[in-house]
Amino acid sequence: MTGLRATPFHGRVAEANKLNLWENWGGFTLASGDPGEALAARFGAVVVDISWHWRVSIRGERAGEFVSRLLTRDASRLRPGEALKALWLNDAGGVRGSGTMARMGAESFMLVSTAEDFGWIADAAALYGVAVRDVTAEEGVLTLLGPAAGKVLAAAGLEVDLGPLALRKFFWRGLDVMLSRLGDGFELWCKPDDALIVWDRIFKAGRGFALCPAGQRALDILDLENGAMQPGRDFAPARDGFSLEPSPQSLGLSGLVDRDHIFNGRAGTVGPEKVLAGILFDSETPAPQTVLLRNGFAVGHTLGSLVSPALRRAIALAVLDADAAAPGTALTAAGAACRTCALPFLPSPGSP
Amino acid sequence: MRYDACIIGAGADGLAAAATLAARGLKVAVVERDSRPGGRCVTREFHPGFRASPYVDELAPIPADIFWSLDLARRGALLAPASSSLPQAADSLRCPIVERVLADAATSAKRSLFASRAPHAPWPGEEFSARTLLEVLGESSAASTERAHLLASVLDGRVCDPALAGSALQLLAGTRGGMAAGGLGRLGEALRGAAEEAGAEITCGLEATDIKRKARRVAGVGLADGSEIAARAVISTLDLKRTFLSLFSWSELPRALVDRVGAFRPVPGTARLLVALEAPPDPRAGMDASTLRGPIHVASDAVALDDAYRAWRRSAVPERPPTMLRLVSAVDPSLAPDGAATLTVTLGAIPHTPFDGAWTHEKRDRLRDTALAAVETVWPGVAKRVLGLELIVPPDVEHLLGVSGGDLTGGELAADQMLGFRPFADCRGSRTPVEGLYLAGPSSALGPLATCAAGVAAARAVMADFAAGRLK
Amino acid sequence: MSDTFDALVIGAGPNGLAAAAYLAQAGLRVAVLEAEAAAGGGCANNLALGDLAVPVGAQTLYALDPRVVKDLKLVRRGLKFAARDLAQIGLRSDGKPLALGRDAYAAARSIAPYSQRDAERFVVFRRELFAFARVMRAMWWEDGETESQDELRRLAVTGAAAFLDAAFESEAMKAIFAFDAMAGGLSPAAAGTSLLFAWRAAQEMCGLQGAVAIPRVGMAALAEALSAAAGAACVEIRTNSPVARLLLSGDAVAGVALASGEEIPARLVLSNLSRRETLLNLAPADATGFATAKRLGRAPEVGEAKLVLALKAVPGFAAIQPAGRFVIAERLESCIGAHGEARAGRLPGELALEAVVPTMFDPSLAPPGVHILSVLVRPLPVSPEEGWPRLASRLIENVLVLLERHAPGLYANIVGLNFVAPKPSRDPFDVSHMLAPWRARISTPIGGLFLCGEAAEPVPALSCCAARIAAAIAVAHLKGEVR
Repeated sequence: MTGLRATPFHGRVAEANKLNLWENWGGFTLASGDPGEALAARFGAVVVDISWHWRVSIRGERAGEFVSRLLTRDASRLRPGEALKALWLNDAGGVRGSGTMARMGAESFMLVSTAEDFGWIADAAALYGVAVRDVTAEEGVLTLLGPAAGKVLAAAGLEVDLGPLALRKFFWRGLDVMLSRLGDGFELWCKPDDALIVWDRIFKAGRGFALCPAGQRALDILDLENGAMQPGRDFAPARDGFSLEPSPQSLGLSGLVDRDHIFNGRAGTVGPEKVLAGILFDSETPAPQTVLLRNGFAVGHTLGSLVSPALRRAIALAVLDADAAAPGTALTAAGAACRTCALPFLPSPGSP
Repeated sequence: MRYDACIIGAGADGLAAAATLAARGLKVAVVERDSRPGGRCVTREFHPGFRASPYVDELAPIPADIFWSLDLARRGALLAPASSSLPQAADSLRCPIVERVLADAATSAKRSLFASRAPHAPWPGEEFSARTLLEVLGESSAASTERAHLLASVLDGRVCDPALAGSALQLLAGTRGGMAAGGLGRLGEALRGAAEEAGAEITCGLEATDIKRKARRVAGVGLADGSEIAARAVISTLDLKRTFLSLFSWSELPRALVDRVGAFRPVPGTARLLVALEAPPDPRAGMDASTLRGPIHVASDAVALDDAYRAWRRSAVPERPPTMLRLVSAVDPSLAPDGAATLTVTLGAIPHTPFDGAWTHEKRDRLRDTALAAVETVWPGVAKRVLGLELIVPPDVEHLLGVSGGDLTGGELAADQMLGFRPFADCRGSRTPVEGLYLAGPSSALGPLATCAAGVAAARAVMADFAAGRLK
Repeated sequence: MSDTFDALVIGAGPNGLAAAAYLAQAGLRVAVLEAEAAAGGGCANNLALGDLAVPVGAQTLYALDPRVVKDLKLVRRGLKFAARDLAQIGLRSDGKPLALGRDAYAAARSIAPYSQRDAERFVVFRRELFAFARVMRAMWWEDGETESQDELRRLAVTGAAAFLDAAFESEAMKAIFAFDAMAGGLSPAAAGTSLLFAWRAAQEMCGLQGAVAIPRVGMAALAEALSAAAGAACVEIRTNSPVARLLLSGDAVAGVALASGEEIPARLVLSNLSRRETLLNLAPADATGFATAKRLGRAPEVGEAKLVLALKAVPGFAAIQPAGRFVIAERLESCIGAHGEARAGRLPGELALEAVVPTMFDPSLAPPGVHILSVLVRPLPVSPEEGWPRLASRLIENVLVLLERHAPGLYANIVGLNFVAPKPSRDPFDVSHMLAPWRARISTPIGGLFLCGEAAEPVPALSCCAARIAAAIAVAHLKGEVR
């Protein structure tokens, strides 16, 4: 026994996974799918099972205070139904994780991330007397991406009127579901027992809109094309309490750090700024975690790298010195020619 | 003002050539007869709310380097992966042939008396010139529906006799470059963006009427309004016959050249029907989502294909033309309003002018009914859901796009008109016997094989000839 | 008990006899094994026509190898010609006949009513074609390389239809060449068929390039002369000896076994039969490679048939000057369509005919007052759906109607008629066969077994060039040389 768990949608995902390629993240077994599905997301719409994203519920009287101290941006100012993206750092200022924090109620929050960090957050929450619970197994979550995503939901009976980074609960023909826009496209949350019904309803509604199921590979590619960084794929989060690396500025993520806010590890957030940029290769060979050279001098390194079916070439996220990050700069990565370009590589599939 | 290059025709090849030349700093002018650039790369709203690409759904693949260097994906041209797989042998030949033409273009050799004695390097794909299509597809002489289907998908609406030597060259022509999100018009816009951003000047609405020469060398292009664009080099993306027989007066060209151009055979054979449906057709048993997204060949057998080909040769409209359906809104929902569907029907073996006279309304209606009957065999009851239609026959293609005979492929894909013989056996890499004139477009060697490649090859030839000092 | 022979030749047709004569001249002991009662093959008068007998095969000679004529002294042995240089005459229903004889300017005058431009072009066309053809002799008469590679490359991909469309504008000129364009069962639209014209133009009869001749006393004279040459070289000709199978030792031939059971050992076997018959019927099943066997297993789809008529009076068109062979075909385009129909196994609606009246040149071929009209018909299905006996009567009727149109009163004058259906035993033919080196056409996968008949010629026609070259290759093989 591998000890891997199945997501609530596993039955439908297994049918749809024609290539029968599987991978595992967060202890769940997931369909990899075909990279071409990322391109399909730009035509009609795709559905990806993201029930494996690590989610914790944070509840308590002092939850707002805790959350505010935890993240690099002040989440206690959120109203119920709103969310923000931020990082959380260890004491020295190294990035431990990045994710989205949503306020569910007056004293209740939810943190969503692709890499788990339960132990550290639970210990930290104990200092405030706040209860932290891993709720990953308590919901099934699907994401709908693509220009027709909104139309599919409307056809399914979910009239959407959500702004970005917002959540709302619905009663949908007998089922309790929640709809959100935390990332690109929409997320649909439901109870594990209702998962297969939700899947079938969405696909029935999506028939006129070229809706296809997609695997994790497609999602990775879409994230990369959008310039979104993922802990684990792109950088190794700091796992002990005191290491400085990686720092937000060395990852080019200073945009997610609010200097005026007081948060754990604030002291370490000074240092040379690097820029997060995109790299376009002149071939279809990806080069993750590779040093980038300009005229023989190292100016940065690539993070995650994949082949984009829309661009038909390999792309990568990279952190570069500020002067090397101007779009169009020619660089080499492990001998392969490439050049920088501004992020995002391609506009998000959901935007018109 | 004297331009370095004037490009006639702002289709895929013309815009790619313009972008390539302008990116190198040359002054480029593009002249287009239509009110908008794009050529075949257009999306037309043929019925309120319903859009489709009128001439083809998919073009030949764009070579990867050209796709990257023109940055087409980031300009909005998103091409779905190819819809079906064809024999690998042919697909893998495309790259070497493109490279061969680009290499020829980049070599600027002074034409000498001894040039014809130079050893002639064989072309990749040349072995197809002697083989039949049936043999390469690996079929026996026995008739079978699968063989007919495979044949129909290779030919894709082009007309050819698959049992004749030389028909295997049909495999080299590509129409599997992928559908574009939003229709081919997005590709046209992306190319236009690339050309304009590089600095090319695109003039629409003016037809090029003739090519001016000074002392046997090209000096510029004369336009319909009487004005003239002076240029050191001219790239024509029109087909061979249009280029030489309508842009020059016959007396100023050598007789051998006029004969050769006259003997170049177009094969007009494709008609298109664009259908607006108020609802998608009911799913049929055995047709899953991915089948619906690909081309559907209406059940044809070898006898029907044979009869249709023979009817075409007699200039008669076949009773059962090879028909290919594409539910384009199943791939790209933006092509139809919510809940509706857009369907394109491609009919093969349709003669340019039926033997009993031009295309009258009755004949068009009859062809339209034949096409709808074919659709009905796949999805019974569809005819009741039709909201609007548009039929395009070869003379319409000729009129709208300016291709001789309405043949989008630019000339028969026969052994004596392909690869090294397309169009001139003794001119290499887009050059023509007229000094300073270069041919991109469908009648050039890369025309039927790959989109944009012929334009880039012509641009490279122009740059090589400038560098060698051959065009002052 | 049989004597030992160095070489055996299967089939005593003209090619077999010529090959045997060459082998014997090189010093080998040769026997020719013929299944029929008399030697001669297609040249022998085996086809009954009333009281007469006419040959089954070719009706004219246009490709006989001049070297064979010289080496085997055929003229001295009785091969004389009644007609040396037949013109090509196109009979048309829409105007006067086109007569393309050796005098190009006279030919131009007959073309002029159809198209002045074509008349002018024809002079140049023939001159260029003949010049190219002469250069191609290096490839077709020897095993050498030709100089005009560019021209060859271009013609090797150009179809006859495209070639003629580019050269001429009038239907009359295109149609007159349509019959020749369908040699070997090819379609005029197939790539490379323009080389068929070049091949015909490369041949030489009686010292004249591209000439078509009729031997005196008929085609049998050729068979007689060749038999005499073989006999003079001490070749043993055994009739009534059909070969049942080849005997192999290992990968090489060791002799033949006759149908009677007699086994004749030999180290060389030359076969006058087609490649299909030789390798599939005579050789053991595992001697040929699998892919070769599969390819050979396909019978040709399109072929030609022969119709011979005995007439009480000369047909009307025989009076046209200059004398020649008559080509009846209305349009090149319909021949292309007809080829497609023949391929599908049906009788085509339009046909192309070549007709000769040999008695015009040699009255001794028939009793006084009787004339022979020999007609070749193309393109026809080799294995039609309804079978040849049923199709033959319909075909004959169509051909007679066509002939009557050009020679009114012909139908009433018929005193004898016979018909030969297309042969399925021939090899399927394609243009790459014409461009292959001689060794490839002559050799087989079995050591010591060579093809010397029509199947080894660049274009299926009566030539004996393959016999000459096959004999040379066989002798070299025997002597252990590797060429």
